Amino acid sequence: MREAEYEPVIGLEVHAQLLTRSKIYCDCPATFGAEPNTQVCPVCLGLPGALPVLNREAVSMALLMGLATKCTISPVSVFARKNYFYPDCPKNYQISMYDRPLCANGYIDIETDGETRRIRIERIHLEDDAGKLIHGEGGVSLVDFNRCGVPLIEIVTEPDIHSPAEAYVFLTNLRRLVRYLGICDGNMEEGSIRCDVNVSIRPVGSGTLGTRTEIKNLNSFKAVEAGIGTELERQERVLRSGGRIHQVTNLWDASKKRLIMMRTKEEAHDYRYFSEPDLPPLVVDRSWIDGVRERLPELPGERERRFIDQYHLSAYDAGVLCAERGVADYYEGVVSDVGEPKAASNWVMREVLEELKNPGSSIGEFPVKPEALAVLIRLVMDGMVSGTAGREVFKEMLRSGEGAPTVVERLGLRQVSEGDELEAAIDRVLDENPKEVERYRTGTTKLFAFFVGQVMKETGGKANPRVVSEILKVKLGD
Amino acid sequence: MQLSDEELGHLERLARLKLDGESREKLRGQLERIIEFVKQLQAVDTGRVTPGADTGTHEAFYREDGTGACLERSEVLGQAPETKSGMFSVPPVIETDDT
Ligand SMILES: [Zn+2]
Repeated sequence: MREAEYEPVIGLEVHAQLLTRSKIYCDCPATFGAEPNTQVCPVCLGLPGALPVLNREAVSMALLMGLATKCTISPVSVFARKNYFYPDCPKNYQISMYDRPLCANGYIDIETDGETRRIRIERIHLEDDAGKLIHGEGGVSLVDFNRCGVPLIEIVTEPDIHSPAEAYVFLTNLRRLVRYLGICDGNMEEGSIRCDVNVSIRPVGSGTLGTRTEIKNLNSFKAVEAGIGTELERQERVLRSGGRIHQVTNLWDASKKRLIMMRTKEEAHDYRYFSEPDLPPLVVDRSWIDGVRERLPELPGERERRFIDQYHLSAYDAGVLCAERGVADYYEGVVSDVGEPKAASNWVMREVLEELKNPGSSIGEFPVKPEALAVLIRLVMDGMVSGTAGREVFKEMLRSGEGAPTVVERLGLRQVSEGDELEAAIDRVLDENPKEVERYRTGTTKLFAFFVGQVMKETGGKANPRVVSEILKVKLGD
Repeated sequence: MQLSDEELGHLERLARLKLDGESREKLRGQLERIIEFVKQLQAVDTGRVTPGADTGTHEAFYREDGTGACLERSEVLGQAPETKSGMFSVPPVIETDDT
């Protein structure tokens, strides 16, 4: 009963680093992992007199996200200076967007507990990333400015999320989407996707929003879920004891799984936004949008639904296959060669995805190409190779790079289905076990499995059990 | 416009300044005059003016997504009063109260 009294209202602000080669306002490389302070120039260091020039591809990538989330694209958007003083920001302002963002009023549909929920996107805008602060020994902080100027999109949701689990599902969907679009690698450990959260609670049925607090420093989707859960409990405790919620920022402490409240007096809430004088308004015309639209792939949610309709896969299988665009492409490559969508899905989900768990392996460089797997599946479906032997063949194809028929011949794994060889093997088994044959014929029918097993042993596992059963039935006089 | 001690104290903390006595009173007076000036600007009726995002009339121009040369690291670190392990060394930044 207690739980039913308040309902959570949650909004997310997600920052995603764009996969451009160069930074957003200068031509320094935007790649991750370089030696500290080796990918910087006067522009991204904010040295006096340096001027930004906008990277067109960063805009195109932001537009891709806007179109994929059904946003309205603003024909004219305006860069704005967000002023703040912090050691990770050498120019003392971020070039972001404020009252005229590039994209607005979109949505992402998510599935939770078999129900479709629409999470509205308030806005998507472009901005530059800040440098990286590392907490050094002896109480100092160390700054690496390489990340300064790496292009970001900030995706702001409406407060449409109503549970920690829903936040988790939303983020998983968002990550899948940016990876499908090829605009962000979605790597949370490297900080390619970061998420801040706004949380409030209100009495169930109330139309007004409660005072919201912010959670930052969430370094994984699981941390987002846990951080929201912790904050919801805290707010409920405060309200139940007759207290008031104050507008604060909490930091998530991942090692201790708790929230740390930041000192409010250290914060200046006024960013003194104003139009960026060094960049003209961003004008996006119809032809630019059309060009970007041509780059839009089939989106993951749509693809999942198509897999269910077209290949008659379960929702679960379709979800697993569509989690990564490369895997879904691979699967469709197999199916287009061999048909057999269900068998292909089993092979990809069991063998291929299992193999992809190994560190360093990727679907793009997977050693067994879809056409090669299709040939193997055909051999199994035609009864030339047993299912068990097929998996062995697959492992050997991975190792040697050979095609399935070559491996089958070399390892002698061809299934014996017909001809004298199989009959002879069955006759041998029956001859060698006269007592069992007698018992079977007088009613101990469970011995049938014993005969099948013996024939499999006799043929070194190469016999087709279905064919063995048929011949045995005839020979035993059933 | 009168600046209270509390407001002045807040600004001092944000600007990492410690002022006292005469210089504090001098700054208080200067800040009050600045705020008065802003009030004069705010009094101007801009109701019929189209909001302008840009003072210039120049065409938008873009960069293609190619990379160029960066500064030498030694040049970059030369800008810092203190460095450590190839990075700028600064005072600790996050101060928190435990909840
Ligand atoms: Zn640069």
